[in-house]
Amino acid sequence: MSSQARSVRLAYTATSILVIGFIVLPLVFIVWMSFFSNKILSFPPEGYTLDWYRRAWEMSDFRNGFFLSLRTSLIATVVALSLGLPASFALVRGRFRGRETINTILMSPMIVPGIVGGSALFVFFLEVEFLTGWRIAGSSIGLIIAHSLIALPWMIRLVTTSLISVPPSVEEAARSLGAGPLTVFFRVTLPVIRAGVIAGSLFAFVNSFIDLEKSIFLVGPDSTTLQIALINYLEWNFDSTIGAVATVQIGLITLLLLITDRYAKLSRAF
Amino acid sequence: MIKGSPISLALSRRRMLALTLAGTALPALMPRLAHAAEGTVVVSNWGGDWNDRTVRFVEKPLLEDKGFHVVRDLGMEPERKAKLLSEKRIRRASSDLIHVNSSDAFELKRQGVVADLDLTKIPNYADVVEELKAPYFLPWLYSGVVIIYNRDKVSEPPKSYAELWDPKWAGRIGLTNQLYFNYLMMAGLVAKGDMTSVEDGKPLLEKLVGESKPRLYAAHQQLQAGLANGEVDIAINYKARGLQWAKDGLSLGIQYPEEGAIAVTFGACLTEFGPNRDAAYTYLDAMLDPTAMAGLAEASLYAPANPKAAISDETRALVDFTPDERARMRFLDYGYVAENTASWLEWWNKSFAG
Amino acid sequence: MSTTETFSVSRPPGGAPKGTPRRLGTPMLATPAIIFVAIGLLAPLALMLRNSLNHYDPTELMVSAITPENYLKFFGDSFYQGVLWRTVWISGLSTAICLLAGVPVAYFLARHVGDLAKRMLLILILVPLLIGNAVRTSAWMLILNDKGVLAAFLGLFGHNGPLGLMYSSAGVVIGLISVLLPFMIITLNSVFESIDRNLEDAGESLGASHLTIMRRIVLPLALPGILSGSVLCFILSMNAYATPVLIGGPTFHMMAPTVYQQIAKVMNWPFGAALAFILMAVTLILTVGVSVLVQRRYRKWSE
Repeated sequence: MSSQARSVRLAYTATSILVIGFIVLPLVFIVWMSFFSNKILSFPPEGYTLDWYRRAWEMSDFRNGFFLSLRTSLIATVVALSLGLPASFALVRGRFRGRETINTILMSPMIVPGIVGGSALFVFFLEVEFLTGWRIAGSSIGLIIAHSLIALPWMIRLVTTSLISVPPSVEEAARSLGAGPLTVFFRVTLPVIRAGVIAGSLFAFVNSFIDLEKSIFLVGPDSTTLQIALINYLEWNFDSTIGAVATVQIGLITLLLLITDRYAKLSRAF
Repeated sequence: MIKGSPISLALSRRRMLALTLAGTALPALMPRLAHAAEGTVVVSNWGGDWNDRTVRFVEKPLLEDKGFHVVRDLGMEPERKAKLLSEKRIRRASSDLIHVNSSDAFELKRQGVVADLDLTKIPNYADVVEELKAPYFLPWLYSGVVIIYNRDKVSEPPKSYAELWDPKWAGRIGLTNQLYFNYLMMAGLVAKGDMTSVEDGKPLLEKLVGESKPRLYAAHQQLQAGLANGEVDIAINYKARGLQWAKDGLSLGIQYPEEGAIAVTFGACLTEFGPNRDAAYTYLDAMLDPTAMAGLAEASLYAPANPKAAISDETRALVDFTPDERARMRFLDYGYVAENTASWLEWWNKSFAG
Repeated sequence: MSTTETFSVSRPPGGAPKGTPRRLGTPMLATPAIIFVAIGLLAPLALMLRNSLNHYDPTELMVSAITPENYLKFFGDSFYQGVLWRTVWISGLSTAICLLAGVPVAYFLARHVGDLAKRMLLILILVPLLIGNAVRTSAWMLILNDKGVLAAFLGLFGHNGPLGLMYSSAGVVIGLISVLLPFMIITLNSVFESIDRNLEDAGESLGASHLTIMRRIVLPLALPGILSGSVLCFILSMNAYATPVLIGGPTFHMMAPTVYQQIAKVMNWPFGAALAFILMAVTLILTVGVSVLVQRRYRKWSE
């Protein structure tokens, strides 16, 4: 490798280490902090302890919150897949007028701030209840609807990116050989855009899981998401319990990510 | 709508269909709300440690262990209030009870979403401290805004709110944003001596901000951290919080202000449209149970609203107020506060805008 | 999020042949999604828009009316305009920094890293997102505090004064880019991946320095992706709630927290709704405006 190439590579490596280090910094601290024995979260650590993990385990708020968040985000991702995959197809392969408009509409949930979308949805649910008697506000369905709205644009965004780089000629060849549209989709297109679908699902899931603001008005009796449980906790205590909760939650989901990577190389997904 | 007329029949049929669909689809996803059991009470409360203590001392021993099913809607109070107020439109409340402070209780009553209490169903209410009572509100734990100071750094603390304006305290005072209207009241108290003089207090407060430069913290934990690391030596906050911080290891003293501490009362209200009122009344009475109150006072360091609480004299001396202090306590004029709180918040934001 | 670039980049030359069965790309496929968004987002927003025209009263809370007073209140009050302006410039600054930091990392991942390392690095970049804003900002509080980690670290080098990072724009920007960088890097990475390496190799064999290659070959080709990533980061930043509240503190006002305050604390729903729409309108105008401007210049280059 020429010396210019080497120094270029060095520059990139150094910059990347710095930037990625910056991104990872809060994570490192949270894990480290979760072992501090300080009564309120502060630096430097006075000592180390596992007490916070025990305390987090004892508070059912966090356990229930984690499982509710997990369930809601998984369902939201499935909804995003069911609605988003066909929509992405229409957007990329279709040749009809109004395509740009439809794309804007489907991406619009991203522009709306979480607080606004969540409160508007809540009031809307109440109107619906007023008119029909259906009780959606504060229920799991309401929360799932909101989270699906978070997940959908991400799914579409990432699947369309992947789909664009796949020439339609392969699909056309399959059609000309007599395959029906569903066969074409499942046997020809899907394997090729598999990485994009996985990326879309990942981002859909992550963005739904970490949501705080949209969910705030939509949680109800016995259903709090993990993020809301954390912020409720922070209102009364600022200690390492949140570090313990976050560490466990991140650990579990990272495991999920690593398993996903095993089956679908994430490097191809992005 | 005349019964039997085509319009009413069509609507009721549609409603039936809607309800059937809802009925089949929703129970799977709304496990607990599906059965309106006799002993189910839905409670709206803060989360974290506050809820923890409520469960430990009231809900578990006095309700759940006795066969009641307690469903909790936990969140911060602005959302819970906003949700309850929004639900007024459909004349249904998702909770039977809501834990609030006394000012919010007044507002909720004014909006018609909480009901007057039938005191015959709450035997323990008779014992409650008189000054805290209200027809629509069950007082539970209370405290006052006092002067908390670092004993190691301050030998002669300010004895009154007015003394905070003394230049020698400049740069050493810490405030919490959540208590903004308490500080407005405080300034009004210093200016005119009563609880309805916020307008007269505003110039004083501006003077305090301009000359003494108090530090404004977002939440009380940060104020605690500020006291701990020496950023501030004096904090104006609830006595209960000061006691909690002292328990956490800070060397703090509490000074009851001469003007009388501004009171804060936490408690619960019965929602107007909640599903299970009988269970709610059992809950309300349980809140004031002397043993429960004792446990709560010891754990939270707030004063119990039921003086019959079975606490030791030591604890009482620590968390509660002497009869003289209680007599001098300043209670908010709730109507005045409700009327003005919006404009006060705006003024506060603009005065402290960074 | 920019719409036109999604479809104008890699379309095969000549378009689809006439015989393409319509069913593969029929607009009907998008219908369920459209209905879902219409019900879940557009209808509630329409309701909110209607509410923004109502009248606020301290006693009655929201009184049905058709009045422009909430919007007029915004335009007549320099405080709220200041809040909007602060939101805009902080978003702009955060986006710019993310771009500057994100391009090298994304290029590095696309060109200089083997497959296994890349997968691990991608996970490493994504995982911190999972922390969630509440806990992440708590960590930043510890790091940025006057007596926190950074201060202790700098103290080793003799710097002993207060940092002034918490409760300041600098702190908020740091908190924001901590969240935005992963999104920017991932978006840019996929763009860089799709650029043909041969083009860069050709430039190199002709003797161009790396900077020239980036400037004249890679970045122009990556422009749609750069735009897309920047628009995304800008929007996320304009809508940010937890970070400005927890790191900026009570005196640091930005739009989304102010909307929340109006809706939940003050109970002034009409004004809160008006502020929300102003925020969304400004975000939309700025992002669409910039997209259009950039695409117009891009078309000039490619012609």
